Amino acid sequence: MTDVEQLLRETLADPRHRLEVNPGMYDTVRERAHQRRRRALQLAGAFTAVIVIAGVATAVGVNSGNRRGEQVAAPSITPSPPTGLATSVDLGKGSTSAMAVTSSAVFVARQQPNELLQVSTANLAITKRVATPDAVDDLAVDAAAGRVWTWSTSQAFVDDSGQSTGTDATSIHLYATSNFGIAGAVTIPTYAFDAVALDGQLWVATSDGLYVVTIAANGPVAAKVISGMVFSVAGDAVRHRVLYGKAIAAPGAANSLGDVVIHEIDAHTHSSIAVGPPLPIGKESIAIVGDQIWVGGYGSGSTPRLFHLDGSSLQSIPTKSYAAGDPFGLGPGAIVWPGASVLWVRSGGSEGLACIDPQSGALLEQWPAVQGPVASVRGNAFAASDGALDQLSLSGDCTG
Amino acid sequence: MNRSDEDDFRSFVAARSPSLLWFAHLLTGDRHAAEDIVQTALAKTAAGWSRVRRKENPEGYVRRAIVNTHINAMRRRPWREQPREHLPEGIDSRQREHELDDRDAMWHALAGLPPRQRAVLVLRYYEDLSESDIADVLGCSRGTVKSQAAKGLLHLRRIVQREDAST
Repeated sequence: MTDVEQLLRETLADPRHRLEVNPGMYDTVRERAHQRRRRALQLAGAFTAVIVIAGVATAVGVNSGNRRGEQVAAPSITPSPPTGLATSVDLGKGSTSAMAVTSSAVFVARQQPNELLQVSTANLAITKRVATPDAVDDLAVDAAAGRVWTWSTSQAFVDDSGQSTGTDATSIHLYATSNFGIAGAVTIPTYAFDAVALDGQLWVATSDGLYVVTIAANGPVAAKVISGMVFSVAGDAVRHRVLYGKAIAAPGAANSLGDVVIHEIDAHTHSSIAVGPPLPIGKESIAIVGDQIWVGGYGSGSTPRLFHLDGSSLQSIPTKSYAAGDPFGLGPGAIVWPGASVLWVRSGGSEGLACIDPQSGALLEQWPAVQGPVASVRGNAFAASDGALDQLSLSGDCTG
Repeated sequence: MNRSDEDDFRSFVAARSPSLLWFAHLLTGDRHAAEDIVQTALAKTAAGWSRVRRKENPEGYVRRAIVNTHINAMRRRPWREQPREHLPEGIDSRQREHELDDRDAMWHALAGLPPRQRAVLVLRYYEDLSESDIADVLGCSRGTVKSQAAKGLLHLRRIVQREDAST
């Protein structure tokens, strides 16, 4: 056994990591069990209602088919699916790693097999499917330019003989949406966490800095813009700015992951515009919806997991913050995605998905059982679990 | 849940919660997250307790639920490893008065591992599970367990060595 293995064993067995049990533990567990049961019954009831309606519609259709020559008016059954339901499309074997949506198509990256799919938003049919040269970790769509950017990361690791092999690298491919042909490729010698397409460029947050990939005469070219580890990045298409998050060591911070500081730079000149205060979260994600900026992340204790930032100063503004114990139930953290006009938040605790008003922070709609990342355009929202693409039924004020 | 199952479940929670919380803390590195996933895993288990209690190892079943709950909760786009260039300073102010000892450095280095990699190491070096058992818990192949363990150990070695060099 190596020294590191021995030290790891001792660390894991260190009694300082033992936690005191909350006296109300059992009652909390029972309450959460009841909540789960209620939620399951609600979903089962809603599902049954849809099946019954579908069954009635089918039966009427069959009967009308048997009565030759007789015109029967189609039943005007237009059920409004209850909140929490989604229409699911089976994507077949493999797992979904990423997804992005435009007004006409959903782009889905799949692994094992490694492939890129295009699904029509009109009828949810798979319209294009192409094998990818590597396992895509994430993708971004540049609808105006007709491009899909994909990226795959690899890491150095130790093989069974103890030898270090491989290198940290991110392989980026550019596809034309017209035919799914590869229009270019570039490799960055570092490990990517996040990326966003903006103004015809791809901004990539990596373990060794923030890179921008531009299209030169002979293909994509990557250049480092900011040094140091950058975990998250988001693009402000209205003001042509890029926001990124940098973790900082925070003396005395309650969060063992440290704090994060959000920076804003000009997308063209790369000059700094604003730097926000430290936020007590780690593993952050940034979402920009119109001129509203939100940051979600993982934290400790009762500190907020979700922050609404002022667009000029990047200071946190007291719109509405959600902490671990709120009714919304973020638990240990929050993950955010931008919609066309709403903010999407996945709870790290319940794993539920929520649609939030980006101006007020008000909760508009929830999907307790929908998994995976989410993306939307106005009127259309999708989530992608391993085996399926779910089209969310939007109702009320959640417009996608 | 009938009265007998209810009593049994209450006893199980009372007796095993400290151990389950410790285990969850090792997986998450965060007190609040540990409490949350233990509560979630127990709530999931409660519905089928009459069946689970008859298993040879009910606690093993709950631990598996804890691991899977944690990995699912951390699933993002998916999760990317977040290595630390420098270790964050300690949670406890007393720790800052002294140099971080090796175990503290290792504990903080663990925070930089993706959840599945960290789970492999916790199951292997804390629970002492075999590669086959770990593969069973995580629903992956033995090869994946091996490579995840190797990657995790390499990451820990790099961080700890870097800290050694800087102190």
